[in-house]
Amino acid sequence: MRVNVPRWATHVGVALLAFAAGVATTVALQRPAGAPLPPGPIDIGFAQHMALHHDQAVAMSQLVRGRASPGINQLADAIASTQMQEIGQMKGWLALWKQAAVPTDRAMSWMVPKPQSSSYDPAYAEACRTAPGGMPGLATIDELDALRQASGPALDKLYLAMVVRHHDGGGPMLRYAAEHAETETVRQLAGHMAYEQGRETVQLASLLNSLARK
Amino acid sequence: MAVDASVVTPTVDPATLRASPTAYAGYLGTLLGAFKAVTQTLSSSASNFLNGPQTATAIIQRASCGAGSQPETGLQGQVPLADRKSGRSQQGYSCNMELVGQYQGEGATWVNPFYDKCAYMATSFNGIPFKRSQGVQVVDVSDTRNPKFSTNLTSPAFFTGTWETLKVNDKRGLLGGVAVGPAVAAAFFDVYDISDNCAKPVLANSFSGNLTLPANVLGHEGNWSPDGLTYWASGLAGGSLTAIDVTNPKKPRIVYTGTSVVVNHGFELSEDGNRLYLSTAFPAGLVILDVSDVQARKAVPIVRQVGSVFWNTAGVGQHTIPVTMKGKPYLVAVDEFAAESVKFIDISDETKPRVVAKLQLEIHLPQHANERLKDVTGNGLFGYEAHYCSVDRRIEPTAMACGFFQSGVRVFDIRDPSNVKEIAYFNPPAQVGKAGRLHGSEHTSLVVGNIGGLSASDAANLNQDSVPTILTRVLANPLALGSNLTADYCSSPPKFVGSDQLWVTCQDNGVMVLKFKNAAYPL
Repeated sequence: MRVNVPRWATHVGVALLAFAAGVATTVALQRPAGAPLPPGPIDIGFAQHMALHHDQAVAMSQLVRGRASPGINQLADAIASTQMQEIGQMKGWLALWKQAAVPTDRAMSWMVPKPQSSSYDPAYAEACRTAPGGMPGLATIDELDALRQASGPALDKLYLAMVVRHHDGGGPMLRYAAEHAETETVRQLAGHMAYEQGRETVQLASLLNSLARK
Repeated sequence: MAVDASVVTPTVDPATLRASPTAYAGYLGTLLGAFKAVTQTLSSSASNFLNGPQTATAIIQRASCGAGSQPETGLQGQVPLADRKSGRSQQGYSCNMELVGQYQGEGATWVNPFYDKCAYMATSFNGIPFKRSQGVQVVDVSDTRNPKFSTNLTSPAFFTGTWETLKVNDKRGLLGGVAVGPAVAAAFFDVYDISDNCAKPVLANSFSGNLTLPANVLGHEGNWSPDGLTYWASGLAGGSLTAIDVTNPKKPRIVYTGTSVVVNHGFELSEDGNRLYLSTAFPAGLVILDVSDVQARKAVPIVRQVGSVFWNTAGVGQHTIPVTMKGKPYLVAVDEFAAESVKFIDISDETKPRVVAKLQLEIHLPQHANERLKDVTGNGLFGYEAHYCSVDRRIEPTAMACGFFQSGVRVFDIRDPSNVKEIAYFNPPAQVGKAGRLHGSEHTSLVVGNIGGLSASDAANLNQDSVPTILTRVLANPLALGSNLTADYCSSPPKFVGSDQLWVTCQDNGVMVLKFKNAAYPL
């Protein structure tokens, strides 16, 4: 399986992602303090879908751990541990809210258009409707199999490309939740994740580009 | 069984502990203090937790024991302390059932299935260094009066210990299981073809094959989709859930990995394979998952939650069985902790499952907590709780049989789910003093029996000795590591065979062919 990420598109995408993440984080952190209770539908939908989205990043990272080159191994370790910690945080909220730990419907119904929203993206909403699994960026069973079977430099490149695509696919969800989640703590984590994943994507894309030149 | 080995497995050499009572006592004190703190914290919040409807407990009516029975001497389900001390429990107890044949071998572990005329005895991970015959023991039960050892299966998962994952798919004649080892593990899934000759299983996938599974996605419990095309595994740690496509048993392929609730446990699937009825632990409950994407082999499968119900913060839901009774869909749900026993859950509206009956033996009742504590202390982590049940048929079942750990194998008339009656039981002879010959039994292992006799399974009822009391007992007899075996652990699902037999494997007594008497069954 090949995931084609043109170099120029990666750079532009990463720059935009990082910028948007920064804006969203700023917006999120400027909102007044005080968490509304009980949680709203965006809080719940975000926690359920983002935990599920994270699951696959963890799975991909665990698939390559111990088999990829030392640098990629370290990266995979870092990604897996960070995302597992965040999964724990989101599932902890869901447990406290007495909500399902996994999504309860097929649609991303919690991502609704908002007036004057800087993060709602109709194109992303449409992509969710058509994407296998209902969320862009998720790898297929066949792609995960390809990752299991790859080795050597091909494994490094495939892993990087898949995680870049994975992070890209989750970005709009993070930015939307950072702006619109009802609970301040949720907005904060979403903003933080948007920033961190944006930064991480830059690193991954740079590595991918340097490997592609070899 | 939900035992976190990281909590209970000794971090020092058992020989060192045996040689030094002081070190042993210190070790136990630390362990017990931590354990009690956790369980008491959990149980203190239990009353505020339940979000399912409160259900009146239904006491299961006692069986009327006919000729040839050796009835229990105390409460229903009880092996009284006096019987344990006098040796009476070593004769066993029976009611309307008799033993036809037995293969004890070196004992067995939690869950051990049957197929055709064969029994498969899983092994204890902790017994590996001591066992004479490693791995899963295959027993030929063609001659029910004389079940015989046929062969042993030592592929990676089967060698390591399959815990509660060793399951048969009757439709395709496949035997599968994942490596569980001490309590949670990963990396190996073994599948055998048993369709041609159940006594000589053929390993379909070679040594791990191309199945290089990521860490933490396999686990502790497993089961087949009814069509036998998918094997599911769930893990206690992190709520992992894995689906393996076994369409071609020679090349199993992972088709889903993810997480669900925090602590997954046993499960079964609906007949069409689209629903997974998942038991949960801490809190004990049931989560109904829509797994139709996996069943349909969608390119990017997503598992969604349909409904849930929980009943005890400090309980451990064990497994489920989908059944239809009086035309309505129910789940039989078993809980291995807190004397919660067995429940019927109405899933007519699968978005709102309802617990409609909680079925308990007399010994499970709150007023008998002290008797439970006295009886089971010293016999390992599990007391009189239920573990695995089975029914004689899924549609309009007439009878249900359950393994109740120290209460033995018990059979109930469930034709009327609102009026369940016991019809027979068999609690096999206690194997006191035979631990050295039963290293395949998890009951005899240090993991289950090494913490001063604490009956962890009843901890949710705050039914346990104080740490000083336990330490005093331990110091009085510092060499008494392991369970006292004053009652067996019957933890495996029984199987109704023919018109009048029940086959079951208990941990210490091994494979047993039982026969109903006094017209107790069929109903």
